[in-house]
This record gives sequence, structure tokens and C-alpha cells, in this order.
Amino acid sequence: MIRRLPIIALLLCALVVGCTTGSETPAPAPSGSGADRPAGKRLKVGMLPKLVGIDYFNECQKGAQEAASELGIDLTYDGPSTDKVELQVQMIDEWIALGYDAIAVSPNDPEVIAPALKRARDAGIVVLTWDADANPTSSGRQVFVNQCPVADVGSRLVDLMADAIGGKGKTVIVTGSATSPNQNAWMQAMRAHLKEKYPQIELLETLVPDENQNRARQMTLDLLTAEPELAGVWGITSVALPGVAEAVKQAGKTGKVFVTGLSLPSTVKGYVKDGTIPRFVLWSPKDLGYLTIHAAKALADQQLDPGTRDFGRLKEIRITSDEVILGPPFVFDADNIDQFSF
Amino acid sequence: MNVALLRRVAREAFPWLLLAFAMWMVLARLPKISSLLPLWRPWAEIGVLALGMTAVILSGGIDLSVGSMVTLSGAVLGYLWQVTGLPLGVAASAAVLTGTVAGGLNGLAISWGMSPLVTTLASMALYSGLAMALLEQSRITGFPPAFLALGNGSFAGLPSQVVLLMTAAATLAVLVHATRFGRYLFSLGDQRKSAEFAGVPVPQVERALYALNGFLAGLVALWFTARRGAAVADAGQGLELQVIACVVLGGTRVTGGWGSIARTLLGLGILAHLEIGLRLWGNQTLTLPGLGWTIPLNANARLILIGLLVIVVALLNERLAPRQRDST
Repeated sequence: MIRRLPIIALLLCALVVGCTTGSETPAPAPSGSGADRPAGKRLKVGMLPKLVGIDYFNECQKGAQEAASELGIDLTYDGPSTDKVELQVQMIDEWIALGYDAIAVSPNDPEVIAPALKRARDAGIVVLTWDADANPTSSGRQVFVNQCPVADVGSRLVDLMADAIGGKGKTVIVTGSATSPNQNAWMQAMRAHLKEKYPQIELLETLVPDENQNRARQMTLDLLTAEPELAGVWGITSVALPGVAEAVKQAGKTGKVFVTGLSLPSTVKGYVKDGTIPRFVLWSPKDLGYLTIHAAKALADQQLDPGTRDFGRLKEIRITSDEVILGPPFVFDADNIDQFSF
Repeated sequence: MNVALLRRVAREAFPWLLLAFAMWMVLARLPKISSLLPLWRPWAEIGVLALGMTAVILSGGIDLSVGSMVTLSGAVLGYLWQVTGLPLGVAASAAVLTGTVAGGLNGLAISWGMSPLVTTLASMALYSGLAMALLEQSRITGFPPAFLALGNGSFAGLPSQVVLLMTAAATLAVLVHATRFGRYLFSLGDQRKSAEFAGVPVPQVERALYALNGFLAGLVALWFTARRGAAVADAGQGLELQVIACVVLGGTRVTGGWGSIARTLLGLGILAHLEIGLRLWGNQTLTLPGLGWTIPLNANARLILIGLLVIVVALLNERLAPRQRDST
């Protein structure tokens, strides 16, 4: 064995080198109507999710690819395999070196991403954020493609709960991790809306299961025991909501404790069908990806002016001075959930 | 043909072939070579940590807490500057001192006979916990431009981190390969008991060694924080894995006693350019000749390839390394 090792080593080298020579042929160009741009002048766009390999960002990718083939854009949709901002920073610097025309990022940290986005701007690259925003001042990003204004998400979640429990009772929020910017902003909006419209709804201390579904289930189970009067629970991440629903189901409180929140239809479909989660809220991640690529193109062409306009199949999209807004959140229930594949 | 010679050639040539391959991957995609320089910044920081780790591993030890020491030093820097209002120079010195003390505490526990693995596994949690307590899960930003230039500036055309790496490499090469302290490290890694009998002042050497590693982590924290423009409580999480991978890929024996600073620089070059290169080929598919298999080079494939590579190299090093200590 030892005698053969050098030969194995050389063979491995040969294999590795052999592999990549095969990849020198460029990837097939996405089909679509890129006719208005001469060949070789297609817009090169890099789109960076918080991480790859989860349902939510896979859906965003589908929409982005749809828009890219409509517009004849060379799209790279790539990201880190864990939600590490440091890897996002490195990838942005690599995309600057590759000479991308536009970069769209969903940052894991609004501050640490900022210097990298600034470097991209200084290199003359069009810079957008989507899904989550970066610090607008220090990053110099031009536009944030906002899936849904924070206040709309907050008030819709609260209204759903208030309607179901009759405007009074004990409730609790189950979030992701303590630092997640989206969730913290939504909770702030929820508290404000509760205080203003439903002072009789009592909010218990928020449960923080750190984006762990099993822990969300366990913490909810414990609370259901400790607070038999609990009227409703919000699970406000795609991971927390199924955990909450499983706990309520296990405790035999389906229909007695109202469960709602934010998640993906595919993740919670079973609970919607059996009545544990009668209604929940989300935007279409596919449309978010689709809109982001359209916005990147419009920005690169310097045609993104404040007002209202259509982007491909999305109609009447609102544009403010530094945001493109997808629209109000969508409410899913047992009647419409089968129409959605994500 | 002489088997021993063949083994030696394979052992020495394989890392260089890998480096050449990784460099080719990077340069084949980049429009101009100079655009590679800024991509070296984070890797040069990892490289400085890997130099210290090489010394630790040569002595038969390990330090899993380097990432946490970088985080803690960065947190101390941000806290003293923003919350306590100390001048940035003072805060920076305190940050380097924090790293040194943190490393020294590791060394103290190890010199009392605790295993390096257990000690630094514990302090990895401890130091990152302290950083979180200090920053209370917020982040410190708004550093002055002069400080940010430390992380994003250049010196003689080279990124500041690369200059730091070159200086640190020269210093550590002398320390490890040309001083009595360096010889102690090798004999410790060979056989701890016999080193003791041979009169090596083992506890003193261990304390100095881990304090040195902490000092380097504290130093790197300055560049790291300046480049990112923020001190965050989970900043250095996971750095230790890349740092150890550099040492292993270079061919330094993980159980100690054999290896060199130069090998770690080689390992750093391989890991850095492979990771950069694989990402630069991000949306391509790879076709295996003859088999017709296509592999998309996505994030998962990158992890798998890097993991396989570290295993293959570690295996080759293990099987091809000389049976007895020789002069690197």
C-alpha cells in the first residue's frame, strides 16, 4: 500500500486537473430575450442570499432566474452554506474582482457587510440589498428591495390574532435568535400596534429558541403547561412556527390556542390542514427574487425613479427614494395553501 | 527505483501541485492578476494565526480558542474605545494585551498538566462568552477612518494584512527554527517525557508558547476589526478550523514534532486559493471526463471538495512522513 501511494497521489492530481479542463467550456447561456444587448455585453449580476440550501432562499433563486432569463442577464446566485457575514464579505470582494455590473445582497449583518458594499460602489458596481437591509449610510447601497414594510407585517400579524381571540387574553411571541434584525423590527411593530389598538391583549415574555425547531417546540410546551390560560402564540420565523404548532398539537390544544405567524406554506401545510394554524402570513419569496433582478436591471439602466410602475409580471410596484416595495403581506389559509409550491 | 526517494518526491511535490492547481483556478477567472491582492486580506489574517498554531502543533498541542481570542480582543478594543472613551491607541494596546493574557491563561492550565484539547475547548467557550457579555449582543461601529485604513489600506502596494503576515512569518521562522525555544518545541512534540528528562523547562515553554499564540490573536484582532469596520460578539467564530486546516494542508504533523513555518505558508496558499478559486467558478458545472458526471460547483460541493482534500492530504502526510525525525 505504502509503495503505491505516490502513484495514487499522482493519479489524484491528474484526476483533479483533468476534471477542470472539462469545465472550461462555458456554462450554457440562459435562454431568453437578450436580443437588445449585443453578445458579450449582457449585464452580469451577482445575487447573494444569507445562505443557500434552505427552502426560502431556493424559492428566491427561482424567481431571480425567471427574471434573469426574461431580461437576458448573466445571473450568479450563490452564497455561503452557513449564515456567516464574513463569507458574504469575501464573496462580494471576489465578485468585485470578477467585474460584476451589479450585486444584490441579503446581509447577515447590516454593519459588517457595509465596508464591502462600499468597496463595490467605489468600483462602479450597482449595489442593492434585498430581504434584509444594510446600514444605508455606511454601505452606500442604492436601493433596498423590501419584501414588505415592517409596519404592515406587524399589524397584519396582530390583527389576525385579535380577530381570532376576541381582542383579549394572554399571548406570546416565539422568535428566532435575539439579534435577528427582521424579527426584532417586526416585534417592535407588533408591540406598537397592540398598545394602540388592543390594550386588553397581554404579551408574555418573548421565547427565543435560536432558530431551532425542536427548542421552539419544547419552550412552547413548557409555557402551555405554565400558562393554562394562554390564548394565542405567534411563531415569527419559518423555523419557529412549525415548532410552536407541533407543541400546541401535542398538548391537545388545537383550536383552543390560536397559532399564527410567518413561515413557508410547504413547511406548515400539515398544520394548516389540521386546523392548528388556521391562518399565517408571508410574502412570495419567488416574487422577491424576481423583483430584485428587475430592480437591479432598472438601476443599472438608470431607470429606477420614485413612483409606481410594473416590473414584468409584477404590477404596480411602489418605489420610494431608496426602496422598492414588493407589497402587503399575503395571508395563507386551508383554502388557498394548495396553490403554492414553495 | 528507490522507494524512499519516491515517497519523498511524492510528499514534497503533492502540495506544490495542489498550489499550482489552485492558483490556476483563480487566475483563469480573474480579468487581471492585481485584482487578486485585495482577496488576500482575510486569508493573510488567518495566515498569521496559522503561524502561531504551527508552533503550538509542533509542540504536540492544539489551540481551539484562537477564534474566540480574536473575538474577545476585538470586543475589548471596541468596548474600551466607545463605552469607556479611551483613546484608540490605548484601547488597541489593551486588546493585544487581552489576547496575550487569554493565551497565557491557556498556557498556565496546560503547564499544570491539563490536556491542550480540553483546556482550549473550554476557553473557546469562555472567551466568546466574555466577548458576548462585554458587547451585550450589540455591535460597536463608527471607528475613525485612520483606524479603518489599517484594515483596508496598502503598504508598498501590498494589502496591510499581507505585510503583517510577511513580518510575522519571518519572526516566527527565526523563533521556531533558529532558537533554543524552537528546539524545545520540537523535542516537546517528539516526546514530552524525554524532553523533561533532557532538561527542557516544559512549564515555562508551554506558558510562553500559548501566550505567544494569544498575542498573535490579539494582533490579528486589530486588522480583523478594522477591515470589517465593526466589533461583533461572534466575529471570530469558526476561524480555528481554517487555521488548523492551513497547518495540516502544509504537511506539519498534527501530533507534533515535525513540520515547519514554511509548510504552513504553503498550506495557507493552497487553502486560500482553493476556496477563492472554487467560489470564482461559482456558477459553473464541472464535467468529469469519461464518466459524463456533472457536478455544480455550489456551496455544498465546495465544502465536500475542501473536506475531501484535507483528508487526502492528511492521509498522504501520515503515510509518507519520515518514520523518524529529520530536519524538515
